[in-house]
Amino acid sequence: MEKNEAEFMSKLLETFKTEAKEHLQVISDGLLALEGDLPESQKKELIEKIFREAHSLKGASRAINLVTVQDFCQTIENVLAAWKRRQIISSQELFDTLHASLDLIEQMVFSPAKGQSNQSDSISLLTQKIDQLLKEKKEEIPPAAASMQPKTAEKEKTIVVVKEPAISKAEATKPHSHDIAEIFHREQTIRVSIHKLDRLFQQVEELLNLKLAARQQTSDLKQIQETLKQWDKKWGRLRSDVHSLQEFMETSERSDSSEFSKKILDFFEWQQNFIKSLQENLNRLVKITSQDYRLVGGVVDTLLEDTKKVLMQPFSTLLESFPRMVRDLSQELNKKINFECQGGDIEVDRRILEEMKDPLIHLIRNSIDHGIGTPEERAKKNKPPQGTIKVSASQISGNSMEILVSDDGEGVNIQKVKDSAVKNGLLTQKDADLISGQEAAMLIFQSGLSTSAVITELSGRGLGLGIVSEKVDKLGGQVFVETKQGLGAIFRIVLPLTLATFRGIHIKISGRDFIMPTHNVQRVIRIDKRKINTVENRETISIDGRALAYISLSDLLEIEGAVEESRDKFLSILVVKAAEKTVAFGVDKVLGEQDVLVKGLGRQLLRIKNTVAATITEWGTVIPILNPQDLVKSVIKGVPNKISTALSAPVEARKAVILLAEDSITSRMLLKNILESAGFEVKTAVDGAEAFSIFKTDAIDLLLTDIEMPRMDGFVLTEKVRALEKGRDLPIVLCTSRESKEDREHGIEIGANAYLEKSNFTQNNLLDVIKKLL
Amino acid sequence: MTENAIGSPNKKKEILKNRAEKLAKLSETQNTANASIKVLEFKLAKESYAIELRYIQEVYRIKDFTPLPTVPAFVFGLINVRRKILSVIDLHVLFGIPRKEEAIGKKAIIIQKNDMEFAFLTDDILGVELIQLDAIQPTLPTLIGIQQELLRGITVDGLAILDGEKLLTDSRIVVNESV
Repeated sequence: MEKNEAEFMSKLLETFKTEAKEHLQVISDGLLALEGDLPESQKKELIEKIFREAHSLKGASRAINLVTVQDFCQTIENVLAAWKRRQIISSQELFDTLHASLDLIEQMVFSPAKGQSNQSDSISLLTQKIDQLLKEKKEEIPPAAASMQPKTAEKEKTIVVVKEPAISKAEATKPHSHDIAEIFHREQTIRVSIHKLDRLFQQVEELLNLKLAARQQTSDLKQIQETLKQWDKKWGRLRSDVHSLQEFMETSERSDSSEFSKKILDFFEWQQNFIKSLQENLNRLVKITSQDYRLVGGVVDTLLEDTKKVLMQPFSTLLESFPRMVRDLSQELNKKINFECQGGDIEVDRRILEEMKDPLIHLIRNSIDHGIGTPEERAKKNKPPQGTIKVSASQISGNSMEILVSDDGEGVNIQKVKDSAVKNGLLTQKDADLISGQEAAMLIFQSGLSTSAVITELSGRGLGLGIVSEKVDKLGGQVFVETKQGLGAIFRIVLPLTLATFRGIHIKISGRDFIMPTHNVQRVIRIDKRKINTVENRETISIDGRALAYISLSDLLEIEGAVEESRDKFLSILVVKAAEKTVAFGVDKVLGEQDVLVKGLGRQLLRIKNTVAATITEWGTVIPILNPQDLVKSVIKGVPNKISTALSAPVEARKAVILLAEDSITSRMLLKNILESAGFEVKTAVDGAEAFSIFKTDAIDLLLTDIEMPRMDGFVLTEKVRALEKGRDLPIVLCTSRESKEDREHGIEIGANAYLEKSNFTQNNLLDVIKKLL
Repeated sequence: MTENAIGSPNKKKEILKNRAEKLAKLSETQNTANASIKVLEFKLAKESYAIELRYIQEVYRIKDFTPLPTVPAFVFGLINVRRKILSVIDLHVLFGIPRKEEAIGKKAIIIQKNDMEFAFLTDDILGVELIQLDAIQPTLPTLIGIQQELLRGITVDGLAILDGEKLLTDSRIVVNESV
C-alpha cells in the first residue's frame, strides 16, 4: 500500500513537472512580450493571462504539497496583482526580478535537491526585492488599502481552497470562462510520454525487417520458379520424341521388351504430371507470397507513416526557448534586439526538431554576435537602434518546410569571407577573384572559416555554420544564405517534415559490406579505369566535364584484404556530395539500393570515424553505414592540396612555439602541460616583463597571456608586442578570470586575436582556438 | 548463462570437480569466511582472468561479427545479439597479449552497468569461482598503464581480477573520435 502511495506520488510529481513547465513557459513568453511595444489594452490582457498562469501554478504546487513553490508563487502573484491594478509600473527592474523568479521556480521544481540552502537564500533575496517593488507603489491609492490588497487577495483564494480542497489544474482555471473552450478542446487529446512513443516507434520500425524478409522470400521463390522452367524447356524438346517412342511401342506390340519399356514410359507420364502439379503448387505459393508481400509492405509503410505523424510536434516547441536566449544575450552584449517568430503551428517530426535546435541556436547567436550592431553602431548607419531577428517557418509542399532566419544587421562581409577562405587554403586567390558574391557567401558553411577577427566565447571559431550545414544535410535538407552587405542576412533552410525511411546503397569494399546513405549519393556510374588521371599526385576523374577528386574507398578506409581484382576494365563509382564537397569514391561492387533500418553502435562507440551507424539485415548480418561527411573530410585531410603542402611543410617540421605568460604557478604548470601534450613547445614567463624580453630574443609563434600580472600586465604586454615589427602579426590569446565586457573590448582594441575567460575554458576549446590561430 | 559458460565435456567434468571441492571446502570454513565475490574465470591467450558476475549480462558465442574501419585497434567489431547491435572490444590489444586465432566460435562476455554495455573477447571460459576478498592482492608493480588500472588485483593463484566498474566507466574505453 505504502509503495503504491509512493509510486502514485512520483507519478503525480512527473505530471506536475510537465504542467509547471508549460505554465512557466507561458509566463515567460508573456513577460517577454510585455517588454516590447504593445498597445495598452493588449498589455492588460497579457498581464491578466500571466497572472492566471501564476495562479494555476500555485494551485498545482499546493495539490502536490510543494509548500515553498506555492509560497513563492504567492509572492509573485502579489506583484502581478499590483501590476494588474497599475499600482506598480513596468520597469526593467520589475522584468528582471520576475525573470529571475521564474528561473528560481524552475530550479525548485526540477532540481530541488541541488543546493537547497542556495535556493532558500535566493527565495529570501527575491522576496525582498519584490517587497521593495510593492512598497514603491504609486501613491494614488491610500497606503492602508494598498497594503491590504495582497492580503485580501490571499484571503479570497483561501476561501476557494476551502471550497475545493482537491485542487487540480482544471479546477484552478475554472473561474475563467474563456478557458472552458480550451478544456473542451483538451478532452480530444491525450498526454502520452515521449519515452513510450519512442519505444512504440522503434518497434514499428522493426517491422521494416518483416517487409524486407517478405520481399526476399518472394524473390527466392521466384528463383525456384525460374529453375523449374528449365525443366519445362527440356521436357518440351523431348516431348515429341517420347510420344513417337510411345506410338512405336504401341504398333510393335509383340516386342519382348514391351513390358519393360511400358514401365519406363508410365514413369515418364507420372513424373510429368507430378512435376506439373508441383509447379502449380509453387505458382500458387508465389502468388500468395507476392500478395502477402504487397500487403505487409503496404501495412508496414502506412503504419510507419502514421506513427511518424504521432511523433510530430508543432514548430513552436522548438521556438520556446529562443526569446529568452535572445534577451539574455543581447543584454550581455549591450544590443537592442526585437525577436519575432512565425509559423509556430507547423507540425514537424520530433526528431527533426531535436536535431534542429543546435543549428538554430547557432544561427541566432551568429546574428546577435556578428549581424546586429550596438545601438551606437546602428545609429551611424541610419538604422533604428533596435535590430530585428526573425525566425519564420512555412510549409512549402506536402512534405517540406522552409525556415528563414533573418536579421537587419551588417550582413556577411563577402570580402572577409574570401580572404579567410584563401588564408585557409579553401580557395586560391584567382578563384576568389572569380566567384560571385553569392557563391562566396556559401563558403561560410565550410568548417573552419570565420570572418570574425576576434574569437570570443560566443562565436568566431568558424565551426558554428559548418555544424548547421552538416546537421541540415544529415536530415536531408539544404541551407542557403542570401546577404546584402550592410542590410542584413537571410539564412534559408529547407527541411522535410518527416524523416523519410532511411535508404542506402549496398556496396562491397574489399569483400566487406557497407551501406552508403542514398541522400548523399548523386550518381552511381561505371567508368573505364583508364579515365582516372593523376594530377599533382591526386587522382581525379572527369564526369560530365567536371573534374572530381577520386579515391578508392578501400584505400581511404584502410581496409586490407581480398580486393576483388576484377579483370573488368571498369570501375564502380559513387559520386558523393557532403559538407559542400563532391568526391568520387571507387568501390568493388554496387549491390543495389534498399530501405535500411538504422541502429546505433552502442554506448561504447560514442562516435567513430567514417561510420555513423549500422543496420542488421534480415539474415542477421551487421552492416556498417558509412558517414559521408566524415569520408569527404577524410579525403580533404588525407590528400592535402599542393599549395598548403608547399607552404606549410617546412613550418610544420618544427614544433610551434608558444610563449606562456602567467603569474600563478598552478595555472602555469597546468597550461604548460596541456600545451605540451598537444605537441607544442612552450616557453614560460612569470609576468609580462619577462615575457616581453623572451619575445624580443626568441622565435615565438603564439603568445598566450594572463591579464593580471605583476610588473607588466597582459594588456601592456600585448600593446608592446604589437608595436614591434615582429609582433605585428603574432597571434595573441588573452586569458583571464575577469569576465568583464570592458576588458574584452579593451583586449580587442589593442589587437588581441582571442579572449578566453578562465571560468569558461576547457582544454579542448583552448586547443581549438590555438590551432585555429596558428 | 551457466550453460553457455561451460566448454567441452572434459572441461565440464573438471569444472564440476573443482566446484565440488570448493563447495566442500566452503562449508568447512563458512563460519570463519570473510566477504567474498563471485567471479567468472576466463582465458586471454594463456593467462587467466576473472570478472565479477554482477557485471555480466551473458556469455555470447561469436557466430559472426562485423569489423569496423578506421577505429582504434582495441575495437574488435560489432555483433548482433537478438537484433541489438553491440560493440566488442579486444582486451588482448589493451593488455598487449598476442591473439592469433580466429574469433568465430570464441566466447565474448557481455558486461553492462547503467547505460554502458559492451562485450569483450575471451579465448576460453573456465567457470564461476568464489574468491575471498582477502585473497586478492594489489596488482603487481611490474604492470603499468591501462592494464594495471583495469585490474582490481591478483589472487595468490595468479588469477587476475578485472575491475568491472572501471572497465565500464573508464573514458578511454569509450571511443569518441571525429575526422
